[in-house]
Amino acid sequence: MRINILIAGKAGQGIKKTADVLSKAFVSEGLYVFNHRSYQSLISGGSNFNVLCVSDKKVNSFDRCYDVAILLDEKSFKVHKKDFSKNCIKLHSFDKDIKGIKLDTEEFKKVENIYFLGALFRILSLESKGLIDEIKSMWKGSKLLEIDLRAVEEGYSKDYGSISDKFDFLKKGKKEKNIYYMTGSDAVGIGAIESGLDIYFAYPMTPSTALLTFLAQNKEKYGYLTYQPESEVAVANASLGSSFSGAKTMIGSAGGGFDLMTETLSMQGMTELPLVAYLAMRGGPSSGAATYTSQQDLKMALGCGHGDFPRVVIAPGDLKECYEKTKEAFYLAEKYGLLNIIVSDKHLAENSYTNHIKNYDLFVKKDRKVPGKNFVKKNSYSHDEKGNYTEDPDIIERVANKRKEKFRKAKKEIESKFKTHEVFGKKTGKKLVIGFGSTKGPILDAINSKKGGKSDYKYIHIIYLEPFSKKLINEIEKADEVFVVENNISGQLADLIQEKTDKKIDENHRILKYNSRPFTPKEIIKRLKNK
Amino acid sequence: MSNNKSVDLSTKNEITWCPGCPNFLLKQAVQKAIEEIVEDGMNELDRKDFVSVVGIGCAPKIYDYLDIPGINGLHGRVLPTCLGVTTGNPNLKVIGFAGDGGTYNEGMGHLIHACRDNADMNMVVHDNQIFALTVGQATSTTEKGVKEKSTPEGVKEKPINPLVIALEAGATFVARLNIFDSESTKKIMKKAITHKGFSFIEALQPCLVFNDHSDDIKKNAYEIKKPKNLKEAIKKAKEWNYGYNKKIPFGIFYQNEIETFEEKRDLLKKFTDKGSGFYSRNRKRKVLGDF
Repeated sequence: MRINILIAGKAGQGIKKTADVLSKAFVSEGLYVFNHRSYQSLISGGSNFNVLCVSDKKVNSFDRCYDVAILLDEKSFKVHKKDFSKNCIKLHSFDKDIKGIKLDTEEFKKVENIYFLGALFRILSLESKGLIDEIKSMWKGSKLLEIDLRAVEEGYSKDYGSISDKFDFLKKGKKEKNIYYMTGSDAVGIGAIESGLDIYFAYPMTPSTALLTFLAQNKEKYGYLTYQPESEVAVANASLGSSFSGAKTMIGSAGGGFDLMTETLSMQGMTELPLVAYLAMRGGPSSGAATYTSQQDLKMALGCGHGDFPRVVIAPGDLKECYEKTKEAFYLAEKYGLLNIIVSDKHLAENSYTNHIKNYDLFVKKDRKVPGKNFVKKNSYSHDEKGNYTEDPDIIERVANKRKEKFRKAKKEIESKFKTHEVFGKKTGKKLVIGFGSTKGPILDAINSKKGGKSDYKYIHIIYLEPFSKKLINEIEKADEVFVVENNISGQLADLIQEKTDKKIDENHRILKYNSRPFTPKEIIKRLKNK
Repeated sequence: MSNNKSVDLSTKNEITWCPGCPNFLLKQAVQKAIEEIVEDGMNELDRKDFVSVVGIGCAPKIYDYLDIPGINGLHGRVLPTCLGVTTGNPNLKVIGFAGDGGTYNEGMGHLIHACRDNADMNMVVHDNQIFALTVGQATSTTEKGVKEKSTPEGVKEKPINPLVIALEAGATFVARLNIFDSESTKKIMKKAITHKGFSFIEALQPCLVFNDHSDDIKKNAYEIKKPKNLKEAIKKAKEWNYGYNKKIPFGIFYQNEIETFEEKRDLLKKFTDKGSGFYSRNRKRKVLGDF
């Protein structure tokens, strides 16, 4: 059982904070939350919203079918009307006669969002203490705290009736160990910090900025450096400079910003300096839908940079994987001098949710020749083993073979040591669904639901896109019918699978969504059934 | 403390500059400057503590001819690469070498920010006022009216004045080299390398094949006395605007030691104090539980 709560209004009305406070209040009760954030590329006004999907069981996604709607402006009512469930409870204060809970005192108009949270807890018959604690923590030291507290109490004190019977699972939260509530960006950041990150260079670009912010805010505490240079080009070149002088270095960007860095990623291929690059995908092509999601840059990650050089491409699908796979990326970068690209997207990078995460013990010490200690030379030109420029065909071939061999060894270790993909659903199922990255949440929730025909499908979530493991190829080739679910218009993952396996995936087996919005489980179920 | 040991930074790599190229003179003077710093035991620097950072073109070939660590990177991107190197280990003496094409055309944005950042590093621009390795196209310091392969009608725009730009952008050491005067070149280079902060050094290094102004430089260059302040320095820098048959001032235009990029960051300051860098750290952290 789940409840989907919409909080909608204009930018600047505190929608994100309201959603965060409410999510944390539920989390503190031992419930699972998926807090989906949808916002426009503007600072105030517009039409923004969050959807909280809450349950006593794991939630990996949200649905556009709202049981409760907190509407902070009238426009939101019009925008979301089509997605209200049959008995959706609307909480609002605008001058319109709609069924629901209407705030009619002027006193709390400015903090109506908080008032509505109180009222919501009352109609759900939940204790208000957890909510009040979270409000205190969120607005600690703020002038607004006093009125916020009065508003939540006033909202909670009114008798608006009860809908608690329908949602009694909200009282069944169990406080478990190792449950974390955060964004994918936070989890990538934690993985980087634990890996011994020395420097993170980045230039802001949605949705990669969240990682820059997270790492910048924690740098003093853990003793590493972040720096935002003049451009993505500077980011990439500075990163190789610092990797050369001995720092564990990471860079990050999105779409166009990542494009700007790719000339230098090719130089990583030539110089073999350890580097982790984070690519957060958004709507495209070009400037695209800046604050919305997509999976259009998979082929870029796999093929970016001129020349032919090895790289590792990893796409985590949830918080746990963001944390663990980032640690693997640092490990592989250091051990093999490889470029490791971590592919995320807006849906994973900016939505907060609950996930089981356990400490993942993986670390490799730096073992590099560095200036100051050694006569080390790194060259973007063809070079001999010492880094001296060469045009000699034998040396060019020999050094290229060395790079190839390095990747072969890395591939062997990845296949034997790390989880390159995960198999869910019916293990012997002949109908196979495949996805990568953030589609993991909605696909999992779809195939695990009754409506999704729990027993029919086998689902493979691919984590390592490059190298593409042998086991994965075998697993895919066993299936009778393959469906590929992805957030782009051409089916980039489907193309990759066609290239790596003997499967042909025609248009009818590509479940594509390219309106810059994430899949929901219901949508996936419907589209699988229609095939 | 002197090492009392003669240091030779020559390498065995075949030098592929054209015979008689002024790059030889520049390389010899720069090499001598570094050798003397090491020989004199200045700041206990060893040759391994120097890093050459280069891009693409004729100038960057110096990477192969100096026996110090180095990174041969991308065209126009020498400055951010230098910043990365010094950020990774602020005790290294980082010297960028690039041409006017790389620094003033492809990478001008980086120059402005390098001046602003004031990281403790050096940039030597081999300004021959031409793209030479690509066999002769105009750069942004090519004299107006000059006919080049890609501008057969003659360059229509005036050259930019990079010294003025660097001074205005906050560079704390700005100099111009007359590479036909090896002794002054060496002296200025030693001052630049030991300057605390960003040193911007422009070397007038004519290309004998595509844009030979050797005689003009030899005839017209005169060494300046260091101007008193920034205003005077800018005035001096404006005296010559990359045309010929005019007096060309060279020498140190400006020097002012202020807080560096490294000093403004506690972590890097600690490395400078301790003589270490990120290379010596392996921070295995356990932080998941904090969130």
